[in-house]
Amino acid sequence: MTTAAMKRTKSRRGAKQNVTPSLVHWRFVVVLIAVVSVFVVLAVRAAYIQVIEPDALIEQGDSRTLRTRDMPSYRGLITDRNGAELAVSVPVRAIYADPKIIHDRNGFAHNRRWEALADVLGQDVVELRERVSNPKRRFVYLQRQVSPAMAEYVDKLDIPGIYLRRESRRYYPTGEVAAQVIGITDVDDNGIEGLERLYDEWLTGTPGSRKIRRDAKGRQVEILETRSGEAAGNLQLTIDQRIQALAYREIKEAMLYYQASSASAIVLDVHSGEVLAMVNAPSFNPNDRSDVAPHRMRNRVITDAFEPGSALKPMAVLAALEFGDVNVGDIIDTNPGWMRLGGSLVKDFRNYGELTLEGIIQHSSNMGTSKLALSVPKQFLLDTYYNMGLMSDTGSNMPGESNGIFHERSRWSDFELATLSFGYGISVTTAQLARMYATLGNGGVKRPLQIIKKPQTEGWQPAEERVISEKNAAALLEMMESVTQKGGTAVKAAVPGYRVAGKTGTSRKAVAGGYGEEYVNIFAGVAPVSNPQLVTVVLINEPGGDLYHAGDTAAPVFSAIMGGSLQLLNIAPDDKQVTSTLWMKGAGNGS
Amino acid sequence: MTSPKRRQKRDTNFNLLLILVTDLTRNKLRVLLYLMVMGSAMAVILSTHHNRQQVIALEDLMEEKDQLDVEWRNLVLEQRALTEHNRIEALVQKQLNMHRPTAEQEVVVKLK
Repeated sequence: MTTAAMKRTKSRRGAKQNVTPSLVHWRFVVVLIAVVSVFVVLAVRAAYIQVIEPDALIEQGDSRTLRTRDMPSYRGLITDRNGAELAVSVPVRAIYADPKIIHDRNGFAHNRRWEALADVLGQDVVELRERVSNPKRRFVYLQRQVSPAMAEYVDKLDIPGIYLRRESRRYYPTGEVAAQVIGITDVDDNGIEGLERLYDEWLTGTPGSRKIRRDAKGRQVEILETRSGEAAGNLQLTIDQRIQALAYREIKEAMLYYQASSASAIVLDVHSGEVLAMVNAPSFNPNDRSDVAPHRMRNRVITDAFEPGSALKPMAVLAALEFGDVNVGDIIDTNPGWMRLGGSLVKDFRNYGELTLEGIIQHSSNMGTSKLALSVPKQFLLDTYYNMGLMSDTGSNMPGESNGIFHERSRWSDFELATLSFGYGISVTTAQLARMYATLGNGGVKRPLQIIKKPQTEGWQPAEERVISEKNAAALLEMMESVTQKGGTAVKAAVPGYRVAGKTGTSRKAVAGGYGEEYVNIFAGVAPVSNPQLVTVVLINEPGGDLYHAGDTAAPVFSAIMGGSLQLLNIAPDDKQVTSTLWMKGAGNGS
Repeated sequence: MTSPKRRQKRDTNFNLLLILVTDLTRNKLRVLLYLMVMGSAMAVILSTHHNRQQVIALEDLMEEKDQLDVEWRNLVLEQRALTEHNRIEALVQKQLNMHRPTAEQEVVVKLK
């Protein structure tokens, strides 16, 4: 503004009046524009960052604070019926390398650290460096399943490009005792054998994860998202580890003692069809796979079918009893100890003369069973075999289970039926045989075998069914008791204090073109007879020593396993009437 | 020049505190709202802080849980290895001179 203008205002208001400061207008405008534009620029920038293009910065922020943390999920436990763990997963680490990073960060310069790494891994340092020499590769496993202590050591070596990864390792505290039943997992935690394979999906959980925001100290300060994984299911078997261990020890000793090529045994609970023990020798150590061979991994109890020989003889007697034209007290004439059936010879060890049904079983008379088998219609005989579960699966659903070998044919010669009655011409697994004896012990009610206690299968389950009358089942057991008594074929199978019913089976192994020189020894039995609780079947395959009769090999093993199991399960002895008062009286007399 | 009366009036008003107080008493609702806003802001800060502390504590607990789980698994293995049935049986036979009772030694007590 000019001085003239100021004078003009002065003159108008007078000298005493305040001087109103006047604006230099253009300056004001310039300042205003400058200030406003500063704010506008700020606002635009803020809007640009906040609204138009926020993603890049959000990403930058997130990459500094946002983390996804995995919550580890371990494979489920496998326990026995009492809750003793049979398979446990523990976390271990895998050491892996990123060759590109090693090359980029000049990781090979730390010579001493590489030597230390090779040393702790037990590998050659030159070889180790060779494995990560290709800079184009991004992932090389150096060692898997290393212990946490070792992993910590490797972590402290701090070699660029060497990292650790979490994984888990399966341990089987019982080792070789139940190795075939439980099976094993591979290095990636997938079940590849046995129940581990069958229940792989159930035992495998999915790991959960949570998205978190972390602060500068690495602590999580905000949980943004949690994805809960599916917890791995646990598996409870019907196996009783105490009986399993006992049976395995006996079977292993028997295999070595009788120089057998293999041996197996199964213990069943008669009433529920639950498998209390299922053992095979030779076995392998599932924790150290160096001695794993296919023949050791096979669960022979369910996979291998044998001609059971005399162990099937009660079936012929049973069929005759069921058909009804033979009664318990009847006498069969086995004179002269041999007969010809269609050009083939059926003969006994010696001429037993006239035998009761009990005598037929006790002396294991081929003549007797053949005569009984031929006395009933062919179809009825075969149906009885079928109903007792000798031609179908046992219902245990175990992987690799065999249904045995039986050739359905329209025409049966008398001789073929006769051989069937003494256990040839049909192959059954140890488990099938055990189920047959369990059916006898259970009063003629057939139940599927069970090996899993929890979880219960939701699918269709074969129900229990009555296949023979209770009276005949009980009568047959009484007859079979004579086998373990004086004069029977398997006195060594007797268990002191208990009444034991059973049957030996010594069969020759079929080879191409006939029967060879190798034997299969079987003893199957039920105890206690007065109230059947347990079934045990022992099978000794190809005994190589001087003893090759089931009564000398399988029977004592049976006695040891059955006796121990009865004791472990606290089943009351039924063979003697000892009471506390009697005992006190006895003690008083003695002193 | 201002009149004496006006000057006197202005004098009374020069006390800033008084002005503030009179002003505040005139707008009680606003003051209340203001205090409530401040209070809630503080509460937000406090609760966020507590939340973070809790989340940090939760993380620690989860880590502890994982560690305990791992320890438990290892202990289970150890326990099972030490209590292996055949091992115990061999030990008691050797060290404690115990044996399985035979049928003759068994006494059955029947409770009725």
